[in-house]
Amino acid sequence: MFVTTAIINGAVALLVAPLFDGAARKVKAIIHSRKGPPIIQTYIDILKLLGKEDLRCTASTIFRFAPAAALASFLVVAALTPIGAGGAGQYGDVIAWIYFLTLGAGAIILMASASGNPFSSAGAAREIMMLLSVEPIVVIALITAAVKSQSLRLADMAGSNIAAGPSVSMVTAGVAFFLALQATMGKLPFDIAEAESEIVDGPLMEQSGPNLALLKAALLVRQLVYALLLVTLFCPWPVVAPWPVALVAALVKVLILFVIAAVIEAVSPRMRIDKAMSYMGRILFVSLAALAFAVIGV
Amino acid sequence: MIGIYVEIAFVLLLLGALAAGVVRSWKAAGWTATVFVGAATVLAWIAGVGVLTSGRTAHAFIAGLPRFGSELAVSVDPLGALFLLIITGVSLISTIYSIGYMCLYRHESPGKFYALLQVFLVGMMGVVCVADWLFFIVAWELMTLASYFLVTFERSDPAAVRAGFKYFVMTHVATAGLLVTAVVLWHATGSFSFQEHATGLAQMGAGLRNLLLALYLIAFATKAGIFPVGDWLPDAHPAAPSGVSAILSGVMIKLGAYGVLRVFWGTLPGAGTRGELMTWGVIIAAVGTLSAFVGGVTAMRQNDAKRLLAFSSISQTGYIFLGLGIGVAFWGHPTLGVVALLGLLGAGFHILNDATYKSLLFMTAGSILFSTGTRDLNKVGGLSSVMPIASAAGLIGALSLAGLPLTNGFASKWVIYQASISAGLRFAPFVIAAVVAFFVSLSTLAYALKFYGTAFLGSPAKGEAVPIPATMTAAQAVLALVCLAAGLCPFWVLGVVDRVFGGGLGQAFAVGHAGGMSTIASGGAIGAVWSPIVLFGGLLVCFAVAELIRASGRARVRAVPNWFGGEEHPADEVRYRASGIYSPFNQVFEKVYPHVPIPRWPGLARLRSVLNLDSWLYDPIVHAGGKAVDKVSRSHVGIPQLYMVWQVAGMVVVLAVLIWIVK
Repeated sequence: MFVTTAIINGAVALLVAPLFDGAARKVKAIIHSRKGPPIIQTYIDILKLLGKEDLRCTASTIFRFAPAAALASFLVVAALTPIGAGGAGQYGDVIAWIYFLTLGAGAIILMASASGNPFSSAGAAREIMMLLSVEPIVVIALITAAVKSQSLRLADMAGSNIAAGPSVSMVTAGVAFFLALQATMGKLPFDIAEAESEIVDGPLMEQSGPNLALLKAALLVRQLVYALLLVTLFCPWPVVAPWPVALVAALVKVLILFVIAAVIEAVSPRMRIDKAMSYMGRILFVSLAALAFAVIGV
Repeated sequence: MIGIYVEIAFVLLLLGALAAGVVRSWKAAGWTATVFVGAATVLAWIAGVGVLTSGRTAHAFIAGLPRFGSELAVSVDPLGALFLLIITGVSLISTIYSIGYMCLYRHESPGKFYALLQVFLVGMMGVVCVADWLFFIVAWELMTLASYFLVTFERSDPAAVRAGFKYFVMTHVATAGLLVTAVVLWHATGSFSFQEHATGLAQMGAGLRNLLLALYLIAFATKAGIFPVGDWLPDAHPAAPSGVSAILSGVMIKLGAYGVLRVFWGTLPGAGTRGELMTWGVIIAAVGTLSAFVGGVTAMRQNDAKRLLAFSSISQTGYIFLGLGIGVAFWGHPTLGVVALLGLLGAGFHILNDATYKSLLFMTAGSILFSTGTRDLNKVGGLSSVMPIASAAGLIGALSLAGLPLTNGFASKWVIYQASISAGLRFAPFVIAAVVAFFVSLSTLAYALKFYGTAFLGSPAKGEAVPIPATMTAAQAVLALVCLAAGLCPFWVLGVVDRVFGGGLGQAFAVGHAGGMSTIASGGAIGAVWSPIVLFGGLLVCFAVAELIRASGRARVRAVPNWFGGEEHPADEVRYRASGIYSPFNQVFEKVYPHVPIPRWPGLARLRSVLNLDSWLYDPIVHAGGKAVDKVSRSHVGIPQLYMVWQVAGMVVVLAVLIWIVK
């Protein structure tokens, strides 16, 4: 049972993420009064890249294998996420969930340093600074859920919220997580690490062809798992019991989040990194308030 | 019986110090020291493993001072045994590393270095092998003095001498407190033994007891490099030769944690009230958390490879103190015993892990210095092509330091997070400690990747980079393998640590499938799960799938130069320098670590000249020897007549002696 649901989680994340990205692109196009690409455009992009020439600016092993390592880490995260009631949650808890995401980010950052391109290095440094300002918010929200459910297992955390019904602390934590979501997804106004028009895609800049395809897929999977965890932990309603139905329900909610994110992206300019950090600093207090509520038991 | 092994180890090390002291070539002295340290390590491991498996204290009497109520005896209990394993294991690897590395110091004396190194090792082992405060302080002093001379080994470097002096003064101010506690408790009990002092602490008034406990904590926190009393560390560790830095950071500062465990976990629960335990636990956890934070954000700012690692030591010791604090606060608590155990297990495990990856990283920094002649991260780059194996080892070390999954650094932090969140369910501030600890682990990732990325990745920097000797590579490879093994099988290592803390592991963790760990959500601990082997398998499968997808497009490969937005530049000209990384972030935390200058005071200047062995020991002896040789040489002036006079005079003397004997 565990193996099946874990594999399905990973496969769903890998296969559905480009579709959601396509939907988001369509929404942005509508706001811009454009026709926009077909909704399957992101699949086409990735498939096309797989066959394109693989340009190597360095002989470094890290540069060659980091994209696959990043995608693998994010797929493990997807397998750990309790969508519906499935997943590999009995082998790793919320700390493992966060750290496998960090592992993937670490692979991308090392790859950027290995490329020897200053734009990539600048992007990598920005990626870490964004991690440092955004992840604490997410982690505090997750610790809030852990304190409420007295467990670090993701399935327990989700189950406890369903059983206990909405509470002040969980709602506050969910709001904080949601406010940080735009940054965790790496979308405008927080696409500071990639920033095409400024540092030319940052960490991804020197990658091409199949490696770039893997990286694109990896970043899409990362966007998806953040959104998935947000809906499974903080917004599990309406509760639908059988596992495949729960999976579909979760995906529908994630799609809504992607659409919201696309709308924000379409109307926002990019923030400078110091402004983004002070913005995150303010959201941190929302998160801390949630934790305080959880500690006093509301 | 087992204690004899440790005694022999001590004798071997002292003999080794003498033997290495008379060897003139660096290589030969290094191998001599390796043989002696290796033999001592084997004996110490036999003793240590024996004590840990049997759980009984090994005792071997050497000499008694009945008038002072003190005895010199080897006494290794499970706590001491764990540290004995770490001390000897890391020191042996560092000695092997030094064989190649010390070629940098050709102009210095090899005998002095290896003799001091082994005396240092005797001091550290002595600290964990006695059960008597008098000899504890003697060993503590031996360790401090030997390490002082090792830090200032490069006498021609004024920065090293200054750093060593700061170290000497700060640790001695703290040791004075240790001396006071020992004398006060000796006065109260008439003995120096650990046990008697525990009863002494229990019988005295609460005010005096807590004063003494504060003195203990300051002394041990100073040695452990805890902020702010550990301010000596960022100066002293970079100054020492890298093999020694590895021992200083990997092992010696952990003895501060040993002291805290000895007093606050070994002694206090029997002597103090529940409230006192809680208070001291919270204090220890609070200074640990503060130290973790300050060390972490300050390390991000450093551009000197070894200074960066020194600050990371301050930070990682902070994690250890956080775990210890939780352990002390809830030890013996009627319902929260499991939480205390989690804290102690996390701290003990982190001590082991930090000893491996931190010494590995200091060796990596040493290899950077050896290869390029600089520790400045702005001036190095692309070293992975010069030393591929050492670079891979360094990567594993950096990932372990950052605490990424499947390394040992993750496993111990995982236990510490659990402990602090569980403790936070009862006493809310511990949750804040967990949040801070998490933030610090991200900053650890930031500086670990800065360290590795700037030195080993990217394009080579200007200037020559030479390959490193095989001994250095081997030492680093061994430590990297230990990091991986402990990361993939954390439960076995935790099982060893558990023997120190009374074998309650089963209450805290249910060993699941394939070495997985999970905490049972009972006894106040929060439920959690971590199965490294299963997840490692999953990661490998996902990696294979990703590579298959990648291969499916059958893309052609072509090598191209870097693209700098259409401009042409030599790679070194557009390098993204270490000093620029994280600058917007660093500006926020710029003021976190104040710089404390050493005060100028005439007494200190005099002390400084006393500490300079050269001025009153080596130089006078060398001078006297030189003068004597001069006098002899005056007789050789090259005038034949004078030689004939000497011959005649000599003949007369010989004849006189012969006549005197015959008569």
